[in-house]
Amino acid sequence: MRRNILWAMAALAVSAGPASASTVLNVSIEDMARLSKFVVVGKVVGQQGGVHEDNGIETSVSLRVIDSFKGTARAGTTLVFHTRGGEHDGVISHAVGDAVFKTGQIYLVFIEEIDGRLYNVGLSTGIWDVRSGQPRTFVRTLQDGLVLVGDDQLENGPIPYTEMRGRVRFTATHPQFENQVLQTTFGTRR
Amino acid sequence: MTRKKAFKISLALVVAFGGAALLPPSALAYCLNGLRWFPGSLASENVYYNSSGKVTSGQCISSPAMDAQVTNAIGVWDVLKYNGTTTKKANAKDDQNTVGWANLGGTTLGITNYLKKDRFLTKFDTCGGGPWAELYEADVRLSKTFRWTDGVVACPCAAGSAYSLGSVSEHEFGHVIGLCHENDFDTLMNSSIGACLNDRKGSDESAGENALCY
Repeated sequence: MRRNILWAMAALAVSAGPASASTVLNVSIEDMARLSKFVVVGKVVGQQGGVHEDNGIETSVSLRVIDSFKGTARAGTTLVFHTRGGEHDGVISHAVGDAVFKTGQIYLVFIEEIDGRLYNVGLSTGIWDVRSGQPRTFVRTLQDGLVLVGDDQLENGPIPYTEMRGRVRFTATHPQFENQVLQTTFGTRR
Repeated sequence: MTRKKAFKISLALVVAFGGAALLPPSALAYCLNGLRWFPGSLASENVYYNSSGKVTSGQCISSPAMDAQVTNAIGVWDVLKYNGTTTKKANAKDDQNTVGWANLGGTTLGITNYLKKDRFLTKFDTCGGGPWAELYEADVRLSKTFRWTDGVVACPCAAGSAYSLGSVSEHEFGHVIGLCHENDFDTLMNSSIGACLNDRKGSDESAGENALCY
C-alpha cells in the first residue's frame, strides 16, 4: 500500500513539463520595439480564456499600465492583449513557448497588432520580468520549447530600467529594421 | 517505514523519472519530452491539413509545392499519418490534429498547441518502463507572414531569403510525436534554425522514435 502511494506521489510530482516547440525569430530589443504598437510596464489584473473564431483558444490578459515606453496607453489605463493558448470551458490549449503570466505581477510587455487584435510579440520572447533593486532591471521570461531563428545570442538581461526605456524610445526616431528578414518581410519599417 | 525514509524514496523516484525525461541530449543524441502517443489512439495520430489562409504570392515555391512540403513532413514520422485536407481550424479542440496557416505576427514562424494531453507523467508500459503522459490532440500553425522555400530551389530565391517549409514542418511534427531539442546544429531537432537551412529527419530523430516505441 505504502509503495503504491509512493509511486503515485512520484508520478504526480513529475509534470509532463515544457514540451514541444514553437518557432520564433531572434530579433534585437530595438527591432522588437519597432514591431510593437505598445511597449508598456504594467500589472496583470486579470486573465480570461476564450475562443477566437480564427485563432482558437486564447487568453485575454488585462494589464494595468504603470509606465509606457511606446504607444498611446497612459499610466492608469488598462490594456487588453492576447496570448496564443489558454483555458476555456475546461479545455486547456498549451501554446508551447508562450508567456505564462501571474495575476498581480508586474511585467514589461511588447505588444503587436495582428489583424486588429493585440498579442504579445514573439510568444514569451516579448515578456520581461521587472526585478526590484538598484537599479530596477528587466529579465526576459523565456519559456522552454522555443526554436530561435538566427545565429545571434538572445539578449535576456538583466537590463537596467532606464536603458531599456531609452532603447525602446530610440526606435521612434530610428524606425528602420536592423534584421534583414524583417526588412524583406515588412519593408524598412512596419 | 518512517516518514523521513518515505520522503527520501519518493524524492529518489522523482529524480529518477525527472532525470529520464531531461537527460542531456548530448548523451542520448535525442531528447524526449515525456509525452507520447499510445497504441489504441490511432485516430488521434492522424493529421489533417487546412490550406486556407496560405499566402502564395512572393514565395520561392509554388502553392502545390508548399502544400507538399507540409503534408510530406507529417508522414516522415512513423506514428503520424497524413489523413487529408480539412476545413477545421488549428488550435480548436475537436479531437483532430490539424496543421494550418495563421497570422502569427512579426517574429513567429510556427506554434504548436497541445489541446489534450495528460497533465502528469502517469502511464507505465513496456516502452522504457515509463512513466509517460499520453497525447490525445496537437495542432500546428504555420506563419503566413514569412517567405518559404523547399530546400531544392536556390535560396535566397529571386524573391529573397526564405525558410525551409519542410524543415520547419518536420521539426514541429517531431515535437508533436514527443521529441524535444538537442544541441546539435546539424540536426533537425536543434533549438535554433537559420534562413535557407534545410535540415531533415536523420538518424538521431529515428533513434528518438525508437525510444518512443513507435
